[in-house]
Amino acid sequence: MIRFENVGLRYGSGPEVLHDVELSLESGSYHFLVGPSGAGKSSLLSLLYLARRPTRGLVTMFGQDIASAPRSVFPGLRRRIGVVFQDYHLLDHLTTFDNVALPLRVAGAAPGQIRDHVLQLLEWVGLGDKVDVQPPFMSGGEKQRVAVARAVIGQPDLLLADEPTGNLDEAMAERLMRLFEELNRQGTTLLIATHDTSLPRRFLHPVLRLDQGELGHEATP
Amino acid sequence: MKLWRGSSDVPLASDPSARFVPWIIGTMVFLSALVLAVALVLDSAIEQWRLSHSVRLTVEIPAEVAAAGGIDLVVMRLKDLPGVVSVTPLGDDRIAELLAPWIGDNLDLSVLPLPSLIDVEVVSPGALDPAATERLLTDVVPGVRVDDGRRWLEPVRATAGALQVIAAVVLLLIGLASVATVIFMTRTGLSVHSKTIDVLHQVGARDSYVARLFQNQALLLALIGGVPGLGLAALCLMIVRSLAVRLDAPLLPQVAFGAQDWLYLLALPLVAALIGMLTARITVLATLARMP
Repeated sequence: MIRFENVGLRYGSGPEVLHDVELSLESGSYHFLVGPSGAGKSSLLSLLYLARRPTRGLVTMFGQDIASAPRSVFPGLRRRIGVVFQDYHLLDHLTTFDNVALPLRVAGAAPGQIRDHVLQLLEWVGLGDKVDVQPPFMSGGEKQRVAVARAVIGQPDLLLADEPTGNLDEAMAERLMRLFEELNRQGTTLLIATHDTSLPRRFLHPVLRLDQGELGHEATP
Repeated sequence: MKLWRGSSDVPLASDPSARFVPWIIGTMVFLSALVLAVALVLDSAIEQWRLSHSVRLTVEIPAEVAAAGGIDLVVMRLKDLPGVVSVTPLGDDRIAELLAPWIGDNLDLSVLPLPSLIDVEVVSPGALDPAATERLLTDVVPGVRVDDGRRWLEPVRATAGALQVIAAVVLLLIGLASVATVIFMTRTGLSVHSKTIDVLHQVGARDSYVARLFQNQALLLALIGGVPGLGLAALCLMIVRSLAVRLDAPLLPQVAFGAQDWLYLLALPLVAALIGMLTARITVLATLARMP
């Protein structure tokens, strides 16, 4: 489903932040991406969620060569990708409901369908009483859950998460990881970037280690 | 939960431009309405002059010839010509009335050697050639002149036409200024809300989705400004009209501002809104297309 061959990435004329990355994510796979700060995890994720194109090498996602694909195909591809950003990327002027509904709304879903799905999901992530609250009035953990709900509402083929449990208490983190497990069982491909080295040990999925822009593969713990 | 979404996915309503753009568009519509009204009045005046003179000729008989019975000879000759509908010699009262704007009301025609005038109505424009008619009548009564008004109407038409061109240029400039305003507003909005737009793109929004948010905002702002702008212009036009009907100016045609003219004016805010909407859309699509 996703294939990186000899991929390099640099910002402008700066140094290369990713070197010769080789990566293959099969449909339905589940990986953790680990590495120290500044290793290039966010850069690698940005290639995966199509925020940028590689400087060199071949990136193939859902059968599309990303380096040469026209902009017009990106919206369709992005609708198949859910992203949980470390800093949430929520829209402060929208309510919780509208933030979570965003992927469905841009895809043209019917209002009734949007309402049912969003309310159900917000209930599940424990934000049923925060439907009309805007992000500036929420705690970090609550924002994190809104971000997760927005990422999964469209039932994406690929789910990328950057430190998804970073601001959650232990119980909610556990619940969230169980949600990811369930999504994976239903066929969603997952890549979770984390500093938390306990997660790969607890959930027993293959680990990709990124260090100084180079990607290494580790066996399942 | 609020079922009605009061906010757009991009918070354009809170931008500073949302406050000043309606004022600019309102001013543009106000000025456009006044300029368009002038152009329409000129057009109506030219048409009235053209209609009133295209089927009328004036025959001028020198005073000494008229006194010698020349009027009757000319009238008889004119009535025999094909295409002539009516031949009406103007009495002294009517001539005095025509001359009043220049030499006053208390006119004693007997002390002035004024020519006699005959108003000739023909069946259709061009039914009677003034030069050929003049030659024909000169054979009967020497010194007769035939005038179809073209001599003085042409410069008037040329002047009015030039004023209409100027009005069109002014309207074009107003339109361009409005377009520039919307382009500036839209580019500022795209810059201010770049992070929000990134999020929209990230969740799969097409450029056209983003463009729709901006074009709807431009449409709304143009209507908010345009409708009062037109209302103010209509008020000014009605004041001018009420003053104009009191004018004692017999040489000016009675120009009526018809229903069709009001429709043109009513269309102005809609045209402004349409131009604003399309400009915003094209600006967004062109700007986003340059993104990687």
